[in-house]
Formats: sequence, C-alpha cells, structure tokens
Amino acid sequence: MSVEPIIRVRNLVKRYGELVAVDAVSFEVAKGEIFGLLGPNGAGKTTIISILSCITSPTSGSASISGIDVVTDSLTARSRIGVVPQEIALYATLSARENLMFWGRMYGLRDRTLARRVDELLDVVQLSDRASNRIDTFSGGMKRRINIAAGLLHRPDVLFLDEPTVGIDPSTRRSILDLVKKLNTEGLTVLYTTHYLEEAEFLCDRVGIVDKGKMIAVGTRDELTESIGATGVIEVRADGLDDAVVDWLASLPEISQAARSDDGLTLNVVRGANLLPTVVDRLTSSGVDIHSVDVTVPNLESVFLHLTGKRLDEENDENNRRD
Amino acid sequence: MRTIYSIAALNVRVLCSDRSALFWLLVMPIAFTFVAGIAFSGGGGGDDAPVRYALTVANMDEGGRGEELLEAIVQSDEIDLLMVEGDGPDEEARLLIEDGDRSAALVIPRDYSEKLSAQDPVELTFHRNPERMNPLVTRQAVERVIAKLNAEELAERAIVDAHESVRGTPPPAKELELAQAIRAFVSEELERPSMTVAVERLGRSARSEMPDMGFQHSSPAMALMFILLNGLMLSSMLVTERREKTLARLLTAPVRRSEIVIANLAWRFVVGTLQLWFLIGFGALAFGVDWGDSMLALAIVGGAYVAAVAGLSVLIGSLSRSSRRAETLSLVLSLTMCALGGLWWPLEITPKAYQTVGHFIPTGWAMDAMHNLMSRGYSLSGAMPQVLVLLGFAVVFSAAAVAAFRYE
Ligand SMILES: Nc1ncnc2c1ncn2[C@@H]1O[C@H](COP(=O)(O)OP(=O)(O)OP(=O)(O)O)[C@@H](O)[C@H]1O
Ligand SMILES: [Mg+2]
Repeated sequence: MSVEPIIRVRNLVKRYGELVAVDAVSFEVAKGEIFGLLGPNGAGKTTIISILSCITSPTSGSASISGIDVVTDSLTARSRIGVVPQEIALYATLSARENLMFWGRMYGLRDRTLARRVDELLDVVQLSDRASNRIDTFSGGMKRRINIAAGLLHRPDVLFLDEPTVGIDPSTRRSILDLVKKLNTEGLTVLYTTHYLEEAEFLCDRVGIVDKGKMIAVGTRDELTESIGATGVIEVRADGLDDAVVDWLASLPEISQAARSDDGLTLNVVRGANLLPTVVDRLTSSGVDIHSVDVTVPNLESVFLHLTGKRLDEENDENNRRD
Repeated sequence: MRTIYSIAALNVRVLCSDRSALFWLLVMPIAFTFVAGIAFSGGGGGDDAPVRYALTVANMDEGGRGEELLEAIVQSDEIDLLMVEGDGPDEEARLLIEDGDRSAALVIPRDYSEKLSAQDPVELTFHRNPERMNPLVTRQAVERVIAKLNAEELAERAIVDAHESVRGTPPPAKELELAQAIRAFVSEELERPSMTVAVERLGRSARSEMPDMGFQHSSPAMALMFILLNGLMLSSMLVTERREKTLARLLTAPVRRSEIVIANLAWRFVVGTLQLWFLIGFGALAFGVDWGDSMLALAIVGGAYVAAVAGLSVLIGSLSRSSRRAETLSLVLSLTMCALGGLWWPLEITPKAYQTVGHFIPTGWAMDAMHNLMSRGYSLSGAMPQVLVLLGFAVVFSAAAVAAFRYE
C-alpha cells in the first residue's frame, strides 16, 4: 500500500466565462514536502489555492486533502488546512491578539487552548511585544507575519502560502522564508506559490511551473533543469541589443533559447564549451555595448525560458505594467 | 451557534473600534430628538391659569334682553367679548370670520328682546371658522348660557301659562310674584346643580404627567430614523470585509456559509435592538416620553422593524461594489424612507397618494405601530397588522440578502 499524498489534484479546471484560469492541472504533494507553484502574474496560482481551500469550486476535476475531497467534504477538508491568503486578510482596526483569537475560534479552539496557541504563535512570528497593537499600525512585514500566524493556530496538516513575501523588504522576506523552512522541519507540509524563482529554489523540494493556467513542468530543481538538456546559461548585460542579433544567436545549434530582458540577454546553452567568444564577437560587431557576461549552470529561470520562450521576470514586469 | 456568536461579536467589536460610529449610533439620535422635540412642542405657556377664549359679538338688539344674555356669558368666566360697533355690525362680524381675522362670532338680532317678550322663537347666529379650535369652546359656553336662560324663562312661563289655561284669565299680581320667585329659584339652583358628573381620569395619561407632545412624536420618529440610517450604513462593513478578503478567508476555515450569513444578519439585529432600547430609555428618562402600556408590544414592534432594517442592510452590502456606493445608497434610501414614512412630519397631514406610498415601505408601518401603542393607547393586538407587515419586510429583505450574499 502506497502512502496517500497529502494533496492530490487531478485534472483541475476552472473557467471564468471564456477565460480558462486553471487548465487541467494535476499534481501531488507528499507529507513533509515543500511544494512550490512557480509562475508569473495571472498564471492561475491563486485560483488553484482557492479551489484547494474551498473558496472557489472547480469547473471540473478533483482535489483532495489527506484523502478528503475538497468539494464533497469541504468542512472536514478545511479543518485540516491552514491558509495564508495573498492579501493581508485581517481586521485592521483590531489588535494582533484579537485577530488571532478570532481566527483560532473559527477553527474551534476555545479558552485556555486558544490563548496558549495565540501566545505560542505570537512568539513564533516574534511579535509578542506588539500583541495588543492594532494591525493598521503594523509595517507590511509585521502584517504578513500575523497573516501567517493566523493560518497556523489550529496546527494544520498542510499550510497554503500564497505569495507571502510580496511587497516586503529583503530582510523580512528572508525571515519569512526561514520561518517556513523551520515549520517544515517540524513536520508541516507546505504548498507555496511565488513568482520569485530564487524563493522556489531556496525553499521547495519540488516545484510545479505554471503558465497561463497550465502546469507545464513538475519536479525537483535538478530534475527540471536536467530535463531541458541545457548544460549552461550565458547571461549578458548590455545596451543596444536588437532583435536581429538575438534571432541570429537563437539560430545557433548550440543555443536552445535566447530571450531578451530589460537590461540584457539570456541564452540557454546546449553544448559547446567555446561558445562564449562567438557570442561576444557577434554582439560587439553589431555595435552592442556589453557591460558584463556571466556563465552559470541552468536554473529554474532557464527552465521557464526553455518551456515558454520568455523570461519569468519579464512576464511579471509585463503584467505589473498592465496592472 | 458558537461560531455565529463569535463572528457576530467580532463585527460588533470592529464597529466599536470606530469611535465616530458610536457617536452616530448614540449621540446623534439624541441630539436630533431634542431639536425635533423642541420644534414640535406646543411652545409658550407654562402658567396654569384657565385659558380664556375670545368671542366676537354683534349686538343689534333694540331691547335690553341682548345685554342680559351677554352679561350672563361674561359671568361664565371663560369668555372675553369683543364687541363690534358701528352700523351693520352683523355684516362686519361676518367679514371678520370670513377673512380669518377672528375665529367665532355671535350675532344677536334686532328683534331679540321683542320676540322673547312675545314668546316667539328667537334665532341667534353663530359664525365660526372651521379651522380653529376656539369656536368649539365658545359655542359650548354660549349654548350653556342660553340653556340656563331658557330654563329660567320656562319656569316663570310655566306658572303664567298654567294659570291662564286653568282659570281662563291672566294671573293676578300675586301669582306673577310667585312666578318671579320660582324663576329666581331655578336660576340659583342651576348655579349649583344637585346632579353633577364627576370626571375621573384613568389610564396611563392620568398616571404619568401629561407628556410633552413634541418629544412624544420626535422620540419614536428619531429612533426609527437613526436605527434605519445607522443600520443601513452598516452595510459598508460587509463591503469592507469583501475588499479586505476576511470574508473569503472565513470560507477557508471550517465554517458553514449559512453561519456567516446568519451572523451578519444577527449582529446588525443586535446593534439595532441595543440602539432602540437605549433611545427608548433615554427618551423616557430625559424627555419624559410615554412609550405606551406594554413593553412587550414595544419590543415586538421594534424587533420586527430592526429585523427588516438588518435584512436590508445585508442586502445593500451584498449588492454594492464599493463602500462609497453602499453608503450613498444607504443614505439616499434611509432619508427617502424617513420622509415618505412620516418620520419627519405626520402622514396624516399629507395627501392620500403620499400616505399610500408611505405604506409601501417599513417606516410608514413602524411609525403607525408606534403611534398606535404610544398615543392611541392600543395594546399589542392593535399594532398586530403593522407587526406582520414589518415581519414580512424582514423576511423578504433577508431572503434577498441570503440570495445576493457574496464572499469576494
Ligand atoms: N473571480 C474571477 N473572475 C474572473 N477572472 C478571474 C477571477 N479570479 C481570477 N481570475 C483570472 O484568472 C487568472 C488567474 O488568476 P490568479 O489570481 O489565479 O493568478 P495568480 O497566478 O495568482 O497571479 P498573481 O501572481 O498575480 O497573484 C487571471 O487571468 C485572472 O484575471
Ligand atoms: Mg495570486
């Protein structure tokens, strides 16, 4: 008998009219894993989380938590999960403690147990000294930490974190990532969505890459990078790039993908150790002003580039501009 | 049940974290009740001297009996006479009433004394302006005096007539003296009648001091107005909960949707009820308002009204896309319903069509019910039709709110 996965998603589809926000997504998450959903804005990450946390019902397909179907037995499923929404879903005019007490009650915690859990979690997120201050007096990072604490009060089997580091400074971001890692080592299974590949690489045991509602690849970091067949990545920072030169580079047999970014160019290299001089020559001869060149091993960015022909951050920028 | 309680309590807590909300809930209604109460009060007065009424008189009598009549009227001590002199005083008096300058006039005809002496029927003319209360009182006083004079006259004439019809001759001087004496006796006896009706005031208006009519209207009207205004304004909190995503987050906890909806209706009902009883208590203690015989009846009428308001509030909150829109809609709806429902002026003084419109909305029925309990002295059964209609509104609004309820 195989171990039942803690999250099982099969052929999940969610349509909003014409728009297919989630398009036949399937994946499984094993107990104790940190599973990352990586994708640009509008990829469908929040929609997947919403279905798993019973806010939205799927158009078709199924999802279960510890074998409990989220549609047919949603009340039981919900008692097993902790959800940290993308937004700060807290009562801004109430104190941190009042908020946590309330969310604890919603999970059936009462009296002594409730008060103890609230104290514990205030301690975990290091905000015990600010417990009686109103949420609207908190910094963005402090709000994020209380937002996370509110999802942990009832000791869930699995925690959904939807882009918990958006809009906060690097050091707070780092402390949140460390917190998630620590919770995971204590046995918590985590489903983590992000559009920052560094977060996915740092945190996640396995990653599912999502784009336009589709799960385009799933695996560990190594599995994914190996799957694209690239042996290296050339990152060029330069001014004066034009499409012609990028197209010429992309047509080289040694280069599997070439993509422009704001300040340069990324090339996935399939083979050929001596490719670098060719690239630099061609760029300088067409009048490109090169600032720096990096040669690295493939990462999740390379995978995204390989699969979609776009850079992940470029996608995000485009979407952010659209917002 | 506990979950419903927790969600409801949380919302009340959020409401209380907003100081200005408490100000609107408790302080503003009292201020408005006070101002409206003063505005509708009788005003002036205060001293307990009996009220005297003015009666315009045109005395055209050519004999002395007219003067006697006026003397008797003045002696009744309720009426001041305003004499109209000149030629054609009867026409003058008529015009005074017609133009609304005076409210009542008595015209004594030229042949008054003559006809009385000849024992012919005499007709006095009483002009009155139907819009005034005054003529009712003056006319009663005049009729009382005339009745007394008639009685005296009758007593004297009875002796004279009886003598004539039995003996066939006019009565001698001795008999006439007797008749005079009987007349005096009747006149005196009528001053202190042997049979009187003692009026004892019972019921609540006798128990409490006579309430000030201004507050008696403004207290329930302003209570109903602010319960509606504040209640509907609470709709924006639902919009805020959707915008801040706390409502969606509730769905991720093991909480039933029905519990969330019920809690949202329930806490608005509780806040409205607390506000109602605060204003009832304050009205009774500070303004001496008499809220009627039955606290139970008041509670049922108030409860039905508050339930209708709570349902409408959740409905508006579910339909509005932004807090601003919810608040604008609430303001427009509640002020319109106050005006149409007779909270600012009694429906009784409005045209028929206006009164009909007033009974398409909860405020009209609630105000009716309040008047029935407070001023007309009805018990709960007298306000039952209104209670049923209000409960109907509550059911319809709440059902619509449940159907329209959204989490995102
Ligand atoms: N309630 C809705 N009605 C209509 N369209 C929706 C709704 N919710 C999401 N969408 C659409 O579904 C798509 C996926 O949205 P979703 O929020 O899941 O993306 P995401 O990956 O979480 O993006 P982000 O990184 O910006 O949070 C988007 O195109 C979005 O506009
Ligand atoms: Mg999202």
